[in-house]
Amino acid sequence: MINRRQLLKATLSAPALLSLKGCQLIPSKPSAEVLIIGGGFAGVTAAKYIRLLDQRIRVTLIEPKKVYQACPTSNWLFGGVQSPGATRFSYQPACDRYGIQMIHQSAESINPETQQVMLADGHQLRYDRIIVAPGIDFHWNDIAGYNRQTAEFIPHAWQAGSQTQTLLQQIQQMPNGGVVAICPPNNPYRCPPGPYERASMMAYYLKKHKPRSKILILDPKSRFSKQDLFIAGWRQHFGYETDNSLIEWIPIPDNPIISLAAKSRTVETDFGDRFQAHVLNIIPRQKAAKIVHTCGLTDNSGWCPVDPKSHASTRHQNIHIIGDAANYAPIPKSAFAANSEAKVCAQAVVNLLNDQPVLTPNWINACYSLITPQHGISIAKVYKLNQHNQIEGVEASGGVTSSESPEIFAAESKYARHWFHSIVQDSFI
Amino acid sequence: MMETDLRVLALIGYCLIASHSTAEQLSPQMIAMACRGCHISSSTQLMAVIEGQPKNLLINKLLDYKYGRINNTMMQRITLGYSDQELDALADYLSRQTLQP
Ligand SMILES: Cc1cc2nc3c(=O)[nH]c(=O)nc-3n(C[C@H](O)[C@H](O)[C@H](O)COP(=O)(O)OP(=O)(O)OC[C@H]3O[C@@H](n4cnc5c(N)ncnc54)[C@H](O)[C@@H]3O)c2cc1C
Ligand code: HEC
Repeated sequence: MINRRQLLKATLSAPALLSLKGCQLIPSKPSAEVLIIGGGFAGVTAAKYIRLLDQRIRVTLIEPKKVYQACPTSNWLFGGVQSPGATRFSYQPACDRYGIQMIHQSAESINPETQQVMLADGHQLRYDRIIVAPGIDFHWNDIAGYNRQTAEFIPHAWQAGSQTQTLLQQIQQMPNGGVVAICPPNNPYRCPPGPYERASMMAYYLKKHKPRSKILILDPKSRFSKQDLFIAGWRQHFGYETDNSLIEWIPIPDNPIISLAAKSRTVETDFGDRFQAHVLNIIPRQKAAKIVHTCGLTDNSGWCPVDPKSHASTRHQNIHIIGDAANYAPIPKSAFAANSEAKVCAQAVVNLLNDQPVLTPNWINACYSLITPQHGISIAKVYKLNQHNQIEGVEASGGVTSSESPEIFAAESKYARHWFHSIVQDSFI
Repeated sequence: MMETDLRVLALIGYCLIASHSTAEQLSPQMIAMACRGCHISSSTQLMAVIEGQPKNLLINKLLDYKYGRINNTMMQRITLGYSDQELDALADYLSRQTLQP
């Protein structure tokens, strides 16, 4: 009789690991149980790749929503470059194609001792290994007068969905000559260039329809991602630094916003400066989603520390954490990075479950932003582990768009659109 | 004599590079998975599907990008993250794959 290990060795020596054959069937006598919490770019990609790498593992994805609303390209809605339907994705295609078992519920808690997850309806599920990918939550106590309720009409729109629609309507209903105030958070937060792409896309719309308006960016940081490229684009298209500039970037690192008068849409800073706006977009400071705080997976930073090689929690065994909830710095929190981490994690989980050594990881991050529909810019980097088991960007690699030619910006705007199709396909289809 | 020395040196050099790179070299599958974030959709021809392309074509393109011999918007920034040996093994690996979306 062949024992389990011999059988595993035999199957693993086959070179073609990425095979779709036989993927569709959920195994009834699985070699191992893997649970995944959170059906975002991180969680779904991990589910898919585990099934592609080893079809004897049963993968169960736990996610309350039936339809995922993607944040990437949601800023393009403001510039009329994207339609809401194009950012919504069902889980069904991936589940059918790769034989992923789906449970539409919230996970309430994880018990690392018994290796069980409790669902919202009280059911318990056992795991051999679990991948936790629940995304972000917000710090609600930084700004007096701002909370979950006020955020319904002073939206952050930083988790795509109804708040993004609310913000879009507010911009569309704003009078010509109105003021928009965007308040980005301090680092680290999901999508570092996001607030500046949002300002660009809003400015593109306002220039056409309400040219006397103004966007203020009240920034607690004195530098931001792709800054030089954004500012050059704002100069070119939106009169940046002239009297009629559509965008004004106001760094206030020593003078943070401390309170909100919600009715008058006025924010006040530490030194008593007041900014009143027709449309106010406060993007709060962020931390890992609630579920990881309930079982001691976070550290003082509010994010989950991980071993970057296996993507396993440094706090509890057999738990892996990927995506925005975990700390993979210097890799930024992005959908591209979440997808990249998920693939490395899937490979690590499959190898660990098969008593094989974990491979040396490799990640890529890239992020495209639109300044106008024809003006795209990007930032990219390749990441590897250094001798100290720390993640490090490969010095020679990456960087931002290196040319200032309109042809390159136009090409990058097309690549930005294609990239979105690609990352969605690699994650959800 | 001179010639032999050079050859020995070349051989030692080769072994050093080779052993260095085997210690550090990433598995091609690990790299290929990362490339898929941009290269998996055939919805447009913009970022072409790279699995199943002939090895020679792939490695020539990748090295041309890396050393700035052909115009590009992104690929030099990516290929500079890998050694020539890694790219060679990657091209070989990719040429033997069929696209599995
Ligand atoms: C405006 C904006 C623009 C962006 N643009 C880009 C871009 O151009 N490029 C890019 O790469 N990135 C971009 N991002 C960042 C990107 O959206 C995130 O980095 C990415 O979504 C992270 O993926 P994730 O899977 O970790 O988290 P999420 O996508 O947030 O997914 C987490 C999932 O977990 C579920 N969940 C949470 N708790 C539980 C629980 N207890 N039980 C079960 N399920 C749970 C949630 O319902 C959710 O579906 C942008 C973000 C914003 C806000
Ligand atoms: C951020 C997106 C992105 C990532 C990640 C990426 N590429 Fe590319 N790739 C491009 C773009 C854009 C082009 C077109 C050339 C250019 O402008 O850089 C391209 C072109 C190519 C081509 C030429 C295709 C053809 O048929 O002409 C090859 C080969 C290639 N990439 C291989 C790779 C490999 C291998 C990786 C992983 C190491 C990779 N790419 C990662 C964006 C990407």
